[in-house]
Amino acid sequence: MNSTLIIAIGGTGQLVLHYYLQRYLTGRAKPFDAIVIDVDKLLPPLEKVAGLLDRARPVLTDVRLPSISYWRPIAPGGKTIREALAGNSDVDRFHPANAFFGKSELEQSIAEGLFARPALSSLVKLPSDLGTMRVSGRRRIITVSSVVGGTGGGLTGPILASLASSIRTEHADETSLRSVFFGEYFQADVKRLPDAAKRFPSNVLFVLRTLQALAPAELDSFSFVSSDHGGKRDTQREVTGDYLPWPGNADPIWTGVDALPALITETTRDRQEEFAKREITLAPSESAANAATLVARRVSAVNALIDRRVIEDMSRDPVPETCWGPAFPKVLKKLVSASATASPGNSADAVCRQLQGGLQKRWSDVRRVFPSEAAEAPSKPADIVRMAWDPNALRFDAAGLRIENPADFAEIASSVLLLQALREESNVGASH
Amino acid sequence: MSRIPMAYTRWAVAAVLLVNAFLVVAVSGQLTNDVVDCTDWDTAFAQAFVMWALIFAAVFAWVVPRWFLPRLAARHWWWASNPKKRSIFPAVAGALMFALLFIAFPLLASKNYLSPEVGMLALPDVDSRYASCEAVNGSGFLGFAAGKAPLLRTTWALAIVMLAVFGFVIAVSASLTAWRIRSYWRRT
Repeated sequence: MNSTLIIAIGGTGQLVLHYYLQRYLTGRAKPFDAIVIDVDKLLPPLEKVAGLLDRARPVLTDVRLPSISYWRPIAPGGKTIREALAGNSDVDRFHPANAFFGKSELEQSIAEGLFARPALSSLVKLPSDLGTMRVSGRRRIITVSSVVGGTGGGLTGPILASLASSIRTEHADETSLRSVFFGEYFQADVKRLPDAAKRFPSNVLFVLRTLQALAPAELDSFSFVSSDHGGKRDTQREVTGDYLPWPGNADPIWTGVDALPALITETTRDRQEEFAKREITLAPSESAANAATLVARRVSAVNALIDRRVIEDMSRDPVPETCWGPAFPKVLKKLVSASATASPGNSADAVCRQLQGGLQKRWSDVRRVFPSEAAEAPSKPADIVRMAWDPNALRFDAAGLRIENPADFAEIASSVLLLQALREESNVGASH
Repeated sequence: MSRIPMAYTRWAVAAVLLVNAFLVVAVSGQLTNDVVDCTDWDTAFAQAFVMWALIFAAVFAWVVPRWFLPRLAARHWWWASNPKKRSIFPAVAGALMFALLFIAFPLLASKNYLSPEVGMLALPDVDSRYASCEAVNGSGFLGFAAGKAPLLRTTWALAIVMLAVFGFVIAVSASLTAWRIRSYWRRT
């Protein structure tokens, strides 16, 4: 268990987590655990990274790796909200729901989740895991959500209340609860939401006033992010999540991503009764352009590792450690030795070819997590040497670990290689 | 235990076959020369040729790919980090340089395309008049197929010796390389 837990609520929370994970993968953020709570599905890039981490975990037993869980609130049955509430789709039939919800809300499809309608959150049930989750041992729990959106706006309050209750029950005095709230930060798609100009400010007011009245005392501090000049969100692209572009410096999403490390390290403040006084203003710690350059450099180095078939060639090199430094060949040596159970008869050459193929396959999938423009900065062999290779982190002797299937071995080994390759040596200490 | 990489085994076998083939061809030529100075220069030329062949082979087939390039170039250029290219490029460059200095230049000088001073540039211990020596008798390499001038005959024969030397160095180098690779990747 990591000492920091990030709870990403709704689409905005997922988007911030997506970029923050890239910061972690490239060695610029400390390990953390994350829980995604959304009526919509988990963003595909988050799913990919979660898979990558889970495959490497049995071997990197001594390394603190993030975990990513996805908890889906329990939605009511029926096709529309009206059906869920009234049990039928008859518009003319009287039902008390007509008094609480407008026509457009009642006609909204359940499949669309709580789309821009926080009030509908009263229909969903929080995941049961939230109530049973242990909070002691965590130093920071940070929720990230948009108060404009349906899921974020509707579920943030109940989730904060549930977390505060756990803190109280477990007497977890060391646990500090913090939040990043997004206000209006993007231009709505008027085709999809014609009344956005009225609805969004109304949502913000509704949710913030609710929080003002009901936010638990355990909420130590929060950062509020909004922008009058936000651009449009490319929701179609967010659904597939492939090659999402890196946010610009003025993009509120970047402000949220940049706020996370500050909220994690910020010392605990005296409790403020008044909700508004708990807001903190955080100075930017790094520019989005610098962060994008780092990501581009790491992506390009991994591209080179694969395109130049370095691993395959190394098995034929009489002086691998002179060329590549001691760490990288030792990592491969360890993998070659560990492959004995899965591929007992294979030569080192064959195992390295298999690893190269496995890495290429894995990267073709994980590459989509990073921005497409994070590309072709030229790489030198020295960039491969400077990757965070750590042979001592690989624990194939861990109790109960026996990899007998060659395909399994290739997947696990390529995940380990990729996690180390994405980081630079100088960042290992900061991140692991 | 990992097996010897097949690529290196193939190189070693090919190199040993080459050595044997060229040695057989090389000894078929008997070189003689009745002009005393020419005989002395012939000997000096042969000694310099063989010595430089060994030095070039050692430097370009061993020192450059195994020591110089891995330490000084492998982290800057991709070709130098690739074991195959790192072996082939310097070997080809060394062979070309050797052929130019010790075969092409003296040959061109013997045919008056180059001045003797330039032709014998890499052979300061051999008198530049050696280029104008002529064969007096002897069976000659491959029946003087390559020409009658002693230089020509000497050079062709020595070129074959050089190839044999190169072949031998490659065979030894490939075997050592295969052994080293096998030891490095031995499963623990």
